[in-house]
Amino acid sequence: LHDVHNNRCVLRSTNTGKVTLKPFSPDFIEIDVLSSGRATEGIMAWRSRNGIRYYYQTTKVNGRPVNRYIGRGDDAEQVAAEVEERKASRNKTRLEILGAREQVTVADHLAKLSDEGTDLLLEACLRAQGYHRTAGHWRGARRAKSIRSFS
Amino acid sequence: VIDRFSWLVEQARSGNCEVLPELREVLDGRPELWQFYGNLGRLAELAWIEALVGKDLFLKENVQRKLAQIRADLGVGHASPLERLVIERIALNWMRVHHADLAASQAMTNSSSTKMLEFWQKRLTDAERRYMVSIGALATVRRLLPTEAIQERAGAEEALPTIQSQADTPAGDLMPPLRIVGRER
Repeated sequence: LHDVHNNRCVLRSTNTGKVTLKPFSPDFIEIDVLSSGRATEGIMAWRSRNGIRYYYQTTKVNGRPVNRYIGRGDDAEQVAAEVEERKASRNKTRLEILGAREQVTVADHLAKLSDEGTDLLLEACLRAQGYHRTAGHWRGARRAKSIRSFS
Repeated sequence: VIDRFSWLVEQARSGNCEVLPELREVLDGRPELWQFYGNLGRLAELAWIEALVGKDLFLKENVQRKLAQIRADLGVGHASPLERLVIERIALNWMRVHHADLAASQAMTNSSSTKMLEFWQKRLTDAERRYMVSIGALATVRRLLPTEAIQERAGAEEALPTIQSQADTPAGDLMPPLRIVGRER
């Protein structure tokens, strides 16, 4: 999927489903990543028979993809346009969320490390003072007091 | 040092009392341990300020003043090193809450999709939870650990990052309306 505005590409691995964001390269044009990875509203929407194109809409019924015959002509074109519009809207949202997540990835990671470190130090200080944790609560005030008075 | 320290805490967690003297020794005699986690907190703070204000230096200044005010309100001036770390964490989580809050408001104003709103709402809930946990941690430290004991233990007041004392600045009045600024492409 090519995000023209930001000149980036979203690539989804068909094997692992992992999504990566990369700068746009013309090589990516040929890769129909999103549609090949999804069963709904997919790549076989238009089918050609005797030189005439017919539109099939793929929907999910009880979790299974079902092809619904739409036909040809203006009605089919309209349905196809609506499906494309929905798909574009979904992809736009997906890109927005990816961008937002990317923007705070480093900050999130550092905050997580800092949180973990502070927790570790807090726990070390409490345990060194003789406290122990039971069901999420720190206990052992009497023992801690005796350790303090001893030291 | 960090690996050994983590191992000692792990042992203490599993009830091994024999490691407690060494744990105390590490806490007493290794100021770099406190410095390491203090610096980590400072790095995280800078990263969050950048995420919150982008390259706007005026906003950056105001956010920093607000953070200094939060720290001062929580008594960072006469806090033990451990308390300071926890206070830093509270300030950091305050920023995370406001970042998510602003982003959620912007998503609502810009009529973004439901998925986008859900994404920011989830982040907001998570940030609020972390904020409350960090406040709880400060309460635990103040209730259970006497200040003098920790100050003696760490002995590393100078090792911790210096905190600007701007308590007198009415930062809340100076704060202009914030907005999330995207990374420059």
